[in-house]
Amino acid sequence: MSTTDYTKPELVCPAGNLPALKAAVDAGGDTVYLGFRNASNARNFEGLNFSCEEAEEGIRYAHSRNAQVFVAVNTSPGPRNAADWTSSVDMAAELGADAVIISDIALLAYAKEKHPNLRRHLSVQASAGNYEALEFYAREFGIRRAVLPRILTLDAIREICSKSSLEIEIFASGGLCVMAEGRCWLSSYVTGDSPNMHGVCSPAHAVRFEEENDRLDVKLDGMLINRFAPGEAAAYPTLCKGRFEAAGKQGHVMEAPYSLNVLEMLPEIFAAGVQGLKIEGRQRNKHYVRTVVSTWRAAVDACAGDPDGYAVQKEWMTSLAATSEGGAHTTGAYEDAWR
Amino acid sequence: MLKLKVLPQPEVFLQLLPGFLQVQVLESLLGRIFTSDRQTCLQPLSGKLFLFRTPDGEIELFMHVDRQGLHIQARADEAPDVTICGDLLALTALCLGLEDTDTLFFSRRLLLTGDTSTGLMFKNILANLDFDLRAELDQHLGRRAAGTLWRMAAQATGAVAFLDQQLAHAGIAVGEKFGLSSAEKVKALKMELCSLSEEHAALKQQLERRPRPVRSTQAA
Repeated sequence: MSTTDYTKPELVCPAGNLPALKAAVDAGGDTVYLGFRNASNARNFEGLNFSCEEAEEGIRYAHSRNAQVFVAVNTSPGPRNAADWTSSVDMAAELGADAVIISDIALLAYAKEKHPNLRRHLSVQASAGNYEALEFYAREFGIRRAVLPRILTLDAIREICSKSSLEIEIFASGGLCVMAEGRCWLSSYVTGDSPNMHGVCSPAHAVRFEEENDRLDVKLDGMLINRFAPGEAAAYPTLCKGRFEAAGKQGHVMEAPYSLNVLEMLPEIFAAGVQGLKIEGRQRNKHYVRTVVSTWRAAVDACAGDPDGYAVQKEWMTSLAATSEGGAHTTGAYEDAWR
Repeated sequence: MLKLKVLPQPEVFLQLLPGFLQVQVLESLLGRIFTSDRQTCLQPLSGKLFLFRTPDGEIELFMHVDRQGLHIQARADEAPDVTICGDLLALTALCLGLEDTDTLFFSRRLLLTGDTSTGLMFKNILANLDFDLRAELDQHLGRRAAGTLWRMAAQATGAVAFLDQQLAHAGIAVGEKFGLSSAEKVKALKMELCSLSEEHAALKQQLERRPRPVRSTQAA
């Protein structure tokens, strides 16, 4: 690959609070994405996210250092509570955010009508995984960028990038979901809440950790969903990463707690024309954000400087593995042979 | 006896502090973080009782939050809403944001039991504190003392990896030899370090008891 064949993608970094936003910017993030303190975004955890004042300060901090801020309003309102969602879009526009990340079509229509100059990005939660769907969103709602679901192979991503006039952003690092982003109702069967409308997979009010003789039991609304042996690495208390008995065997029947890491695929991702590399982890603190963003900054710059000579450095893998769920990495669906 | 080629670093000694001193470290840390002007951020936790404890149960410290602010106490009559369990290094890392809380949880160095909503709220309040503790320590303790403390706290976050390194330096692969887990390896090394520390203290006492050589004050 010659150096003229690629676009250097921007690093889109997570921030669950102001210190994490500053850490992301200081560590070399091109863009930070955040959410407000309500159910309008997919990380609606107690005490996480930004008040209006904190977002204002964060946007000022990022802009003064040539970084962008995207605001995620990427869940769907219920029949009677749309005000939280529309007011979040209004607030993002008033504060001067660089884009809003939206999945709900009514909210996209609202944003287009009320704030035509505010960039609209299609959230991964829209689960739009083909060129035709993206064209629909571009035509009807004027979206400028789409975050692709993590179900696509790199070949499929390459094809979408070559056909579409939209900017394409993909997940590069962090926790994975089961292959039904934006359409997963799994946790609602146990807890009554879902990531799509409440912004949480496992609402904390339903989670209990119990330890006995160094054995850790994880319960969701009283239901045992995982059990960790003494010394065994723990994972998030989500139903999809629970261990159950199926066909006479116990194990991860839906998803193993591995973290996504596409460092080794960077030259191919550059060549595909991807314009945004998203790092997952708004629920993590500034230490995680600083570590992960600085690692990715080094990798992206190395690949941009010399794509042919690019090689994954051992210390990059070590620093990502040290902070990741399950301590193990995967390239997810990107490298799989299936479609 | 395990022969160490590298001297233990400060974080090891932090863990070896007697229980009452570890409690004081934790208490002063919480007091330093939640100064009176920062206690307003704790209001969502008003009425909640937290228990910080080490896995062996040797150290227990209660933190009660009410409208007046935060109160640290050695005992409590009622059961805590949330228990945060970890060794002093993990608790220090949590309080100072030196390591990500989820990372500590994944590696089983920190566990939150009881009301998860309240625990998560506390974790995120801590993570949202935007202040320069190092600068504050410099101001209160002086740069030299603050620097030492800070180094100990920062190094604390890598303690387990450090202990594994020590084992490697010692050339004894305890885990592989005896099939021990990482946690057991750390325990084994701690016992060895305690033993070394006791030997060092005994040796020091012996040396102090020895008569000092008479120094001649006359010029040669």
